This record gives sequence, structure tokens and C-alpha cells, in this order.
Amino acid sequence: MRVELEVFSGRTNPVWHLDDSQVREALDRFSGRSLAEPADLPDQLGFRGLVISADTDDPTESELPQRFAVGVAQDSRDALTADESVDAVSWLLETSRHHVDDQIREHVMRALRGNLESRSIEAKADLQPAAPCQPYHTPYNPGFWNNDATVRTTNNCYNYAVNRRTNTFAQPGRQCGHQYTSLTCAAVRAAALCDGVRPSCDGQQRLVALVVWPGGDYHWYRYHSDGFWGHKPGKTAARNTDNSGNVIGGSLNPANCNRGPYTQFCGYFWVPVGLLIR
Amino acid sequence: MEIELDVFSGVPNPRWTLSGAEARRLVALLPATPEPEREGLGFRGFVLHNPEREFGLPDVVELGPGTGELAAFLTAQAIHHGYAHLL
Repeated sequence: MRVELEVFSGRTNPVWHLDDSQVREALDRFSGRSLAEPADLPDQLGFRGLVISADTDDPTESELPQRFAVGVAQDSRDALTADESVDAVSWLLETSRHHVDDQIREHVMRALRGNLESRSIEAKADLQPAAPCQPYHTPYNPGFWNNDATVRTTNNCYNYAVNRRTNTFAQPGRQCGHQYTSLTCAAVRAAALCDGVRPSCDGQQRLVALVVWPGGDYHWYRYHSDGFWGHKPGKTAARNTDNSGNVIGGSLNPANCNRGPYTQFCGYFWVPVGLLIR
Repeated sequence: MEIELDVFSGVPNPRWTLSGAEARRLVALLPATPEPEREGLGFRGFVLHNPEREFGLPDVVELGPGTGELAAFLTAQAIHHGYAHLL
């Protein structure tokens, strides 16, 4: 899969290729989404977008359009959100290794926000100016999740982290129509962001953390006003201890506590109060 | 009758159906007192789902990881169904 950074006017644009694992990540990020076409790139000097094209007859590469563009403003419902675009461009630049120098990289990230906002017609929630961060944390209340067998067995770690009982064993992305299709940090993160989980605090929001058992499963933690983290391993009881039996608080947190097979720490996120999941 | 492998947190647990012979074998291996499930992340044990309440057993029986022959039977079942990597 070939990536061309459309940025220069006189010089040839930087071009590089994704390796197998990067192609898989590209599929996670872009499959099933409405993608911009190279013709949609704005006519301007400096960063215009990244054009990705299949350059093998590999079946995996045919799951995406032959040529498509990233980092370009779009108006369709299934398009990448501004945050997803910023994240995707940032990731693509990381895959470029020595092909793109730091100066170009900085220019791209600065120009990207401007490009994404300039074509916006209707106000989009993710492009509004960030509201002030108002962390909203509530006390640990495991009884709510544990006392009733139906509630306990039909609500999972995602229900717990978002603090929304649905009795559907909620899955990231199912509410917004783009459930994750693989068990990687990138895929589950993208699905959660699609649902409305935020990558940084920009409103009245709860702090949560995502970890992944690569190829197997994901798990979430939620921070409580008591000063520790709670979590609910699947259908089992909500708890505030890790796999060593230690309370996840003080110097212990989701990044350094015993997480059993969930070896990958994907990051911290923020859940708007009242967020719906399914 | 179905066996559920209680291992995941976000994704639903794997499950498979027992044949008549497998169900009879399993019931013969059940302990007098149920063993508690392990807690926390990762493999915690097995759960027997028995909606028809066959063999005079409840509709849900928590089996934990099991011990001895029961553990061997359940482990073999899980491996046979492709879940060795989750144990």
C-alpha cells in the first residue's frame, strides 16, 4: 500500500510504503468508512492531504478503495471525524520513518486542522471550540452492577466505564454503527471515539482507560471520586482491585497494575456524562 | 447443554454445545459442592448452561476452573474447540 504526502509544489512529494502490519492497521482505521477521493484535495500550497493507493493485488488491500485520501475535509455521515483524521494523519506520518523530516511533519499537523475546518458547512460537534475540561467522577458503587444477576451478567467493562447500564453487553462502535472489527488498540479506540468517547478532556467528562489483550479482547477502567479505579471484568462482579488483589489507586493505575493477559495499554480517554452506548 | 468459557471482559465469552454423550460425561464428573470461579482478568473458569434443567441440575452451574478429571474434561473441550490460547 503506497502513501503519497501531497505537500510540495516544485519538489516530488514524499512517497513510502506500508508494511503488512501497517496495512492491517490501515484497514482497521478506514474500512467501511466514507473516504475522500484524491480529487477532493484542496488546491493550495503546502499540505493538501495524503493519498493512499493499493499497489499489490493482495486481497487485503482490495478491501479499501484503489485510491483514497486522508486528512481532507468531508461532509458525509460515515466520514472520519476531525479527531479521527488528525489521528490517522499522525499515524501515517509515523509510518514514513526517514521519508518525511520533522519540519514537514510539523507543518502538516498545523495545516491539517485548518484544512479540516475550512470546508465545514454545518457545525459539527467535533469541530466546535473545545469546552473547558470539567472532570466528573462519582463514588465507587459496585452494588449497582453486582447485586442483580441479570445486571451483572449482561453488562460488561464498557458498560461500567461509560457508566451506562444497557443489559446488552455493550460493544464499542455498536451505537454509532461502526463496531470494531479487530482486537487492537487502534480498532477499539476508533470504535469508542465513534461512539463519542473523547481522546482528551473537553467538557464534563469521566476519566477512563483502555487496555487490550492483542487478538483476544479489550478492557476498560473508570476513575472514581474515592481516588481509585473501578472495573468490571465481563459478566463478573465490578471491583477496584487488579489481578494481584491490590486496589488500583495511589501509585497503582491502569497503566502499571496487574492486568493479566491485557498486555497493551492503549491510553486514557474521557467519557461525556450521559453518553449513550449499545 | 452448553459450556461457556469465562475468560473475556469486553467481548462475549466463547460458548459451545455438548453432545448427549459429552453432557452425560460432564454430569458424572460434577463435584458435590460447586467450586467458586476465579476472579479478575483472563481465564476464570467454565459455566454450564442448562436451560432445560436436565439431570435435575439448575439452569446455570458455575464450575470454576475445575480440579482433577473435571478440569481435564473441560480443558480438553476448550482446546478441541480452538480456545487453547485463552486458557
